[in-house]
Amino acid sequence: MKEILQQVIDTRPDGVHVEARFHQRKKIEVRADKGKLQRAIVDDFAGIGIRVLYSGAWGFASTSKIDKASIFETFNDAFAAAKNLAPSMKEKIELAPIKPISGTFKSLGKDPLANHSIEERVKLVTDIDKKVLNADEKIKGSLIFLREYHNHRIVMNSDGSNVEVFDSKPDIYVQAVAHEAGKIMPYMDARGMCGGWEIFKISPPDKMIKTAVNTAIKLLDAPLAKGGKHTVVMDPKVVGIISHEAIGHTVESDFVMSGSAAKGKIGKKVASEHVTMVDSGEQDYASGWLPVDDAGVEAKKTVIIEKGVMKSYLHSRFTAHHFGVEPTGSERAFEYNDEPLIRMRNTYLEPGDFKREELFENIKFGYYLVSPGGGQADSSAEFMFSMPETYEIKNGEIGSLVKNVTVTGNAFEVLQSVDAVANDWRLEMGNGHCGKWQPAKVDGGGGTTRAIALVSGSVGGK
Amino acid sequence: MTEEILSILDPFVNKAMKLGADEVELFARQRKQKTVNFEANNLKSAVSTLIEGVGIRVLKNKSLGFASVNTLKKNKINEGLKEAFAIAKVSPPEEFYILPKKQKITQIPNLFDEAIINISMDDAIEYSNNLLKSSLKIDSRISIDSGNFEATEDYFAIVNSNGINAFDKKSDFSYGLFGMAIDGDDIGSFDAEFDAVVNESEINIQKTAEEFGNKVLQNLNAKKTESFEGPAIFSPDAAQLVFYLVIEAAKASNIQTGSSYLQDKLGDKIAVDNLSLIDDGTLPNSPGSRSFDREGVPHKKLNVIENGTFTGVFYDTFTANKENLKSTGHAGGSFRNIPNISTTNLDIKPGKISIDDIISEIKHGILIQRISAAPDPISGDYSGAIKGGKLIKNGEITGTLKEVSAVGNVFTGLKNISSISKEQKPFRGTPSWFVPYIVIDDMKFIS
Repeated sequence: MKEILQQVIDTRPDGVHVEARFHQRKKIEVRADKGKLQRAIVDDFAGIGIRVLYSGAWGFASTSKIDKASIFETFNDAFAAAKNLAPSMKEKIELAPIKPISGTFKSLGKDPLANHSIEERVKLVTDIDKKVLNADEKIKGSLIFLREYHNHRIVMNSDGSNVEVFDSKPDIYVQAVAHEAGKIMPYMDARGMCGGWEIFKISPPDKMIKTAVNTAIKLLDAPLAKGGKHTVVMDPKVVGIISHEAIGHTVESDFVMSGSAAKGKIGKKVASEHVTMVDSGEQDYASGWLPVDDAGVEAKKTVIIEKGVMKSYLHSRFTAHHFGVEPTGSERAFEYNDEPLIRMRNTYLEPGDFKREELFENIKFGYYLVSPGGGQADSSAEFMFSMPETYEIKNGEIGSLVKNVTVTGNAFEVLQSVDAVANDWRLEMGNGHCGKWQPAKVDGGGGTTRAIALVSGSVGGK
Repeated sequence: MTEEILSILDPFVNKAMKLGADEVELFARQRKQKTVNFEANNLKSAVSTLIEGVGIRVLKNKSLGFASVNTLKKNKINEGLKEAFAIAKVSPPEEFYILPKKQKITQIPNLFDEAIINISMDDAIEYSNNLLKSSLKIDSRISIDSGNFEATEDYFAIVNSNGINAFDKKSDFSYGLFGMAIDGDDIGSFDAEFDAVVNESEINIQKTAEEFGNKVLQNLNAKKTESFEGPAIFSPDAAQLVFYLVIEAAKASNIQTGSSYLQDKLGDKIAVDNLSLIDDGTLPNSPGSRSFDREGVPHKKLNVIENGTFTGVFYDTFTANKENLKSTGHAGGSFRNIPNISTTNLDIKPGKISIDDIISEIKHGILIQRISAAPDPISGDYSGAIKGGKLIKNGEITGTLKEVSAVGNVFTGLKNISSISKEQKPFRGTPSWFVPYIVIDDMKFIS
């Protein structure tokens, strides 16, 4: 197939830039709820996407028919689309130059998923489900979900990039629902990574069961948090989600061009000197692993904020040209029929010099944010996240669990207030997807971080 | 894809039965799309897409297996069938799992505009460019992050071993945009506006552009306010959040797994008298309609809430069979997964009072344009940031608010609805929604 894609590129008309991709995505899902297998499925989704730049306009076409005639027809459709669009373009799209990259890249883990059967997966998920339901009489509900993406990508372009990438990205979710006297409290523990079956060694199911069951039960009697501005200590998972949602999206340069809160901030102080924020495709064990992006650009480490000063946005080749900088390797397509967009990869705060314990010292009263739930961020970098696992901090000690916590604020203001980042750096936000017209697998984290944020806790109250 | 696809799928039913299946189903779909995207106030790309594939459900000894392939080629469908058998073999049995029996399917009128076949990429470019230009022309402070125009031909075919054998097609012209207004250092909250129609002649780019412009311009110059308690007018956009939770709670799949507030509440009064909610997948000329659902069951009209009483649960065949009932025709989903329960055209019945009169009667409250919240789906508790909220004092809107959040409970809120507007906003798409303004009393606003 590489030969056909190369032929498409080699026979292109003059003045045409071509990106030709093959992507096979095999998805496996197994889910059990409350003692029943809910589904076990295999979804095979493969095809070719061709993007053409002609006379300042992009044309894109895709096909699931993988034969020479269909692939050439797809090129013709993409070329025709670009030709049609070109006369209407207000600003012609031009691309920043790149150094072509070639090679084969793999991250399938120590124990590849392909070595395990569907039967083993069904047994694993239904066993976890049984254990959750039998763990305590207060547990009346459960949801166990295993999802795996097995990816095989070929990315070629008319600048000479020619790469083949193999990876697999499993996610595991374990939810327990505790009931007592009309109160219902769910808690979900989740883990996602790039790799293989070793995910169950790194995050043992029995440990996840214990966390989900114990936290759900404790939440039944947990008090509400005290609303107001508080000192918060954030676990790496929480640091990751705030970095990603509230800052990361504002530095995606397509969003910058339309006027996000990061516009005009390069070179300016946007956070405290403890904050160095990075988006990188380098970590091959993390869900945002990306050696080469879907435009054929090497996915380098991008320092977004260095010691509090904004250094870079995330770029496509087009936005890199527009801003006069180098592309960052951030263009990603979810499946073969998706057009590449600027997306994050692994987004994190670099570790600081503090020991984790030191962050709690001297806090008279505050909150320890351990695990994030749902949330949203705005163009102004204002964000809100629910924090299903949050503990009180009293006189330097971690105290009792509180429920229904929501954290809100402006992400740049929160980063200005950061006065310590610990050296316990890790990425562990890999489960789930980031959504922006199409999904993407991403990861995030950092060192445990201390800041000031607005905590609201008066929801519910029953 | 034409009706001939049925003759490709049919032989696999016989084949699966010979291989020992109790029941089998093949669902094929093909979508042909022309999309023109814009980004950062400029056109970006023209995209031509063809997606096709088959989802296969096999039941053997009461165990379900599912696999999908993204091609209509016979050898690949055969591989998918084998994979589905392999999964059924290792899956525990589920005694209530069945596939639907054959029912009479009535073709819903006006779901396919033949004009879709002749839409050229140039036409799509013109529509997309019009949407972009019309929106930017409204006011120089408007900034478009992204948006598109998309024309889709959508074809569906289903066969199963109980004699279901049906073909349907739909046309869909959908368009929308996402962005904000910027005035110097004042960056307004983002907002979005979308629409979808079946017939090309119904496309109304100007209306979508104007609604988008109005929404984002109102978000500028936002000011803080004090915390207080009072009535909240939920705009149709914000009210969707409330009704989304109600819909989720009314799905049999959530009720049967104990993940629903509405468990054991069928026949109970759950809302004020003047609240009625209907789902009707048989409406002609609506993007939310289809002649049959993901399992080949015809859609029906379902009264979910009637004058405040919870009267209807959404079922597919499996969840209905657990309670010895018939499917309500609400199986949805793509060919890439087993069916799930989904809605078609949701109609929250309008009231008699105008939105202007509603505002004029409020002493101190907030009109919530959009709410950014992640409510707990089971309890209905939420705490959300109000976006583009308008402060109302003595019957008049006095300005836009920022950094204010609302705290409440969706289900308690249904019993505290004091007014429903006669104006209803259509959110057309798959599914479609028709939503009025609603007023919920005694809301807590926190600043």
